[in-house]
Amino acid sequence: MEELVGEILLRLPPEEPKHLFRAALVCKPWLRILCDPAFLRRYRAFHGAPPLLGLLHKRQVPIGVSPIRFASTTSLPDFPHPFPDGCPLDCRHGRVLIRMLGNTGLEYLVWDPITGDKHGVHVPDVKWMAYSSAVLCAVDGCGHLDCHGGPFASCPWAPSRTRIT
Amino acid sequence: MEVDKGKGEAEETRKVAEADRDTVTLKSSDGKLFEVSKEAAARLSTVLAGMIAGGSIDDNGTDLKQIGSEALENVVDYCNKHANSIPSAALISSSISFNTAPFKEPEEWERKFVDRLSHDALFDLVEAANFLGMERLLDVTCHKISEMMKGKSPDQIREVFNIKNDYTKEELEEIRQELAWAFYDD
Repeated sequence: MEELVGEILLRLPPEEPKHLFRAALVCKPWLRILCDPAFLRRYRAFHGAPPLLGLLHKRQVPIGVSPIRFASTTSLPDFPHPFPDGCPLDCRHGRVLIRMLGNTGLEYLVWDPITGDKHGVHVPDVKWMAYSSAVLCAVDGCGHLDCHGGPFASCPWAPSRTRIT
Repeated sequence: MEVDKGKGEAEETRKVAEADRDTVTLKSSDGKLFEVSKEAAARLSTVLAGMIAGGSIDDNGTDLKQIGSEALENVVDYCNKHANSIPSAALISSSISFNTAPFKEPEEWERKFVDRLSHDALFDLVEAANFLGMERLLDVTCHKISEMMKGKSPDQIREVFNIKNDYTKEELEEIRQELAWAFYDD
């Protein structure tokens, strides 16, 4: 039966992350199966595109400023955006690019909401009102099913009258 | 030489006779015999397909020593039901939907087939499906078991699977505090 546990765990639906967490707490052999990179590769291939876990949103309020929140679409609870002064510019391949006004001026952060990792990135030498930026996974040949922890690229772009640069 | 020739002919005749039959006979570990449609067995089980193609099917009952009679009865029942079923529109359309996951949801009759089984019978059937290389039956039974885990706490899952908890209290408490949201009731 042991060899079949992986086959059963493979079929737990990714739309609800708590199923996987609970299974991992059953016993350590199950935890090892669930953390095995080979299992994770199979899991991603089996279920295809990863599910939507939530949205970053900001409420319009009559007075004052409403903080940006992560609104969950699963049993994962909503939680306040960890950078209340920041403005999310882009969300792609499991990362969020945030523009912040820090102590030393404008700062850019790339935040992974799943792992909590954050990295500062270079601020383009362009007037900030004139452009926005995107964040992309930079792993060659990546299928973008699970890009956590790998290299990424931050790419500024600006609209012009005739083209996007 | 003559004897060898005669034996060879007899063997050939037996193989032809077997090839003509529409069913194959399977013998469980406890010696019970079951008849199954040859076409369905070959289509649904890579192991049985190999045995049929290789002529290693025994007319008096092919020994499947790893499978008990209850599990084998369910395997045969599944093969025979599958032989009579026509793929539903849902199954056909799912292959061309946007969701390109290889798993196809069980059909209604497949759901009913596994729903009526006890836990023990279901686990025995998973092992039998795995042993016989029955990909679809393995898919349907594993899917059913994973559904049984939904909404259950780690304690309840351990009870269903008869698993000993090898986490220490401290380890569990630490994880529970860190991931409290995962343990709210459904």
